[in-house]
Amino acid sequence: MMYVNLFWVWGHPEVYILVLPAFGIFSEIISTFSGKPLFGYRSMVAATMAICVLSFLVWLHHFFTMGAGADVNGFFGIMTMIIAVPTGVKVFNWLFTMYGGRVRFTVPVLWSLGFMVTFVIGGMTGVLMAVPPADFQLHNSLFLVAHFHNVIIGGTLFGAMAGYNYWFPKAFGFTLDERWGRASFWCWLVGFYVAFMPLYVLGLMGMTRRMQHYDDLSWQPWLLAAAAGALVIFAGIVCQVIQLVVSIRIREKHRDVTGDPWNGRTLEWSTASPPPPWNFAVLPHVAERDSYWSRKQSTSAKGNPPVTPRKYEPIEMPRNSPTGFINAFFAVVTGFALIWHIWWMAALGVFGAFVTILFFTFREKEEVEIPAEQAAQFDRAHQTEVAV
Amino acid sequence: MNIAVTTDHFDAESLPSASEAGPAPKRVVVAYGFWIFLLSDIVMFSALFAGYAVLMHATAGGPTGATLFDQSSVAIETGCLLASSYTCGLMSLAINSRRRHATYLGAVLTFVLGAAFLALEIHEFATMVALGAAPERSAFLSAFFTLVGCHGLHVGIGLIWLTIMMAQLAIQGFRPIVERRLLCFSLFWHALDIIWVGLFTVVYLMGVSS
Amino acid sequence: MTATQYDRAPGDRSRPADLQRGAPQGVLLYTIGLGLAVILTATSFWAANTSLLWPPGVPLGLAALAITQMGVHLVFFLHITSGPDNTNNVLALAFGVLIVFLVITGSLWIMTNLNENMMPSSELMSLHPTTTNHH
Repeated sequence: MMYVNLFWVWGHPEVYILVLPAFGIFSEIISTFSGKPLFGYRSMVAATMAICVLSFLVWLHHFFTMGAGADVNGFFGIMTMIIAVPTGVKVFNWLFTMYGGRVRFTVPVLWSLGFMVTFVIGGMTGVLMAVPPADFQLHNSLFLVAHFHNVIIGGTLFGAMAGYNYWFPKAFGFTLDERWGRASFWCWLVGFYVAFMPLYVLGLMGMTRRMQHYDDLSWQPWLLAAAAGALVIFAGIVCQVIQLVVSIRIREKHRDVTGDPWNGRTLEWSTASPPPPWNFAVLPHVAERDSYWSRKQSTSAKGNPPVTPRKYEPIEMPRNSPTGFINAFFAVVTGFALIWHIWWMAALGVFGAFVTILFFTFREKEEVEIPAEQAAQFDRAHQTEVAV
Repeated sequence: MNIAVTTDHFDAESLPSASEAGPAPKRVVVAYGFWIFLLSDIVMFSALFAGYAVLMHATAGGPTGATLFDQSSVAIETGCLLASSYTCGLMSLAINSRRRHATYLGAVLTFVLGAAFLALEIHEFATMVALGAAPERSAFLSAFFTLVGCHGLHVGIGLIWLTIMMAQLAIQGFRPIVERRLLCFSLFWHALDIIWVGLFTVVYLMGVSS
Repeated sequence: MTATQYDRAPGDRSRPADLQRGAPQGVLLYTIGLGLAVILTATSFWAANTSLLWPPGVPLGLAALAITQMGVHLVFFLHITSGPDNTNNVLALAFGVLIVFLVITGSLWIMTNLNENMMPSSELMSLHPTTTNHH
C-alpha cells in the first residue's frame, strides 16, 4: 500500500498537470474569439494557484476502498470537493468572457465550447465519487472509467485540438481547413458522448473495469452503443488526418501573410507566420495585458500606423545541438535494459549518455549571434500590420 | 546581457520598473531553474524518507538498525560531508574573485572529503551485506538501502561532476557558462548536505535510540 | 547586464557591490555556518546516546536540531535571505517545504491508519474471540 500511496501522491497532481495547460489554452482562445479581455483575470490566477496547492491534498481519493478509517477518508473526501471550487470559478470566468462579446464560431471555439460542457459533466461525476460511501460502490467500476475519460478527453484532448487549430497557422504559415476541422470536432463530440455515457450506466449497473469477459446480458446494449461511439470517434480522428493532408495540399490558398489570421489579442500574432528564430527583433514594450490588441485599437483610432524608427541590435540565439536527440536514444536504451535486467546494456546506455553530455559540455560556443542587419532585413520584408 | 533594446526610451535617472528592466541575467535564470530542480529532487527524497519511516520496523525477524548501525562511522561521515560543504563554500568565494589556484584547492578538498564520505558509506554497505543484512532481507533494509543509497549515488554523481568542472576550468577558464555551472554545482552540493542532516538524524540517530 | 538587479540567483551572495568589499567577509560567513552546524551535529549525537534526557522527548529534540541545522545551511551556505531580491527563491523553497511536509505527514498518517485497520494476526484472534470495531 505504501507503493500505491506514493504513486497517487504523484498521480493526482499529474492529472492537474494534464488539465491546467488546457485551461490556459481555452482562456486565450475564448477571449480572442469573443473580442473581449478575459473576465476576472486575477481570480483566474488565484484559482490556478489554489488548484496547485490543493492538488497535493487529495490523493487518497484514488484508494478510498483500501482500508483507511472514516476520519482519513472524510478529510480527503472534503478536500476533493473543495478543489472543485476554483475550477468552477474558472468556468464562470470563461462564460462571462463570452457574455456580451461577439463570438466567432471558429474551430478552436467549437472545441472550447465542447470542453466547457464535457469537462463540467466529468467534474461533477468526480465530485460524486469524492463522497467515500458513494465511491465504495463506484470504485473501479466503469463509472470511474467514464469519469476520468470525461475529464481527460473533455479537458486535455479538446484543449490540445483547440490549441492545434489555433496556433497551427502561426507555426506553419497557413491555416487548417475549416470544414474538415468542423467535421472532426462534431465526430469527436458526438462520438465521445455515445461512447462514454453508456459507461456511466454500466458502472451503476455493476460492471467493473478490466473485464476479460462478462455474463450479464443486460449490459450488452450499452456496450454496443459504446462501441458505436468509439467508431464515431475513429471517424473524427480520420477527419483530423484528412484535415492535415488537405490543408497541406491547398496551403497556398490559406497562406497567412499578415501573421494575424484571427485578429488576435496577444503578442505572438504580431510576428510573422512562421516567426523568425529570434521571434522579436526588438523587444516589444508591454504595458498591459492583451497589449497587441490595445496597440491595434490605438493605431486604428489614429488612422495611419506610426512609423516608429527601430533600432536593431545583434541578437544572441542558442546554438543548435543534436545532444538532446542522441541522449533520448541512450535514455531509451538504458530504460529498456533496466526493465529487463540486461545490465551490460544499461551500463552502455548510461555511458553513452554520459559521453554525449561530455561533448556538449565542452562546446566552444553556446550561442550564435544574429547580425542586426539580418533581423532588420527580415522585419522589413515581413512588415506586419502594426509595429509593436 | 540584454538581448535587445526597447524602442521606447526611459529617463536614465529614474529607476526602471522591473518590467522595463528587461529579462533577468542568465546567471539568475539558470540558478533559479536549477534551484527548482533541486527542490523537486528533495521532494523525491521525501518520498523515500516517507517509505523508510513507514517500513522502519518491518525487520521480518532480521537485523534491526540498533544492531547494524555504527554511530562513530556515521559521525565521521557527517563530519566529512559537512567539511566538504565548507570547502565548497570556500571554492565559491575563490570563483567569485577569479582566483584559479584557490578554486582548484577548494575543489580538491571538497572532492577528497566527499570521496571519504562515499568510501565509508560503501564500506558500511559491504559490511552489512556480508553480515546477511542485504536489501532483500527485509522491508526495513530495502527502504534503508534505497534511501541512503540514493543519497550516496547523488554524492557520487556530484564528485564526477566536480571533476569535469575542474577539467573545464583548466581548458576554458572562467567563462560565464563555467561560472554558472559551478554555481549550480555548489547549490547541488549544499543541498546534498542538507539532505544528509535529515538522513543521519532520522535513520541513524532516531533508529538507534527508539 | 541590467544595471539594477531585481532578482538574485540562489546561492549568490548579495549584490556585486558588496562582493567587492572583500573575501574575508565571505569566509567569516561560511565559518560561522560551519561552527553552528558542528555544534548542532554534536548535540544531536549526544542527545541520541545520553541517558540524561526523557526518552520520549528525544526524537522531537533530534527533529528540532535537524531542522535548525538545515536552516543554518540555507542561510550561511546557500545565502537564502528575506531580502526583496531573494523573494522568488524563498517562495520556491516554501512551496518545496510544503510538499515535503504533505508527502511525509500525509503518508505517515495514511499508512498508520491503514495499519490499524489490518486484521489482527491469527494468534491474537484466538485470544480475542469477539473482534471489536475500532471506529
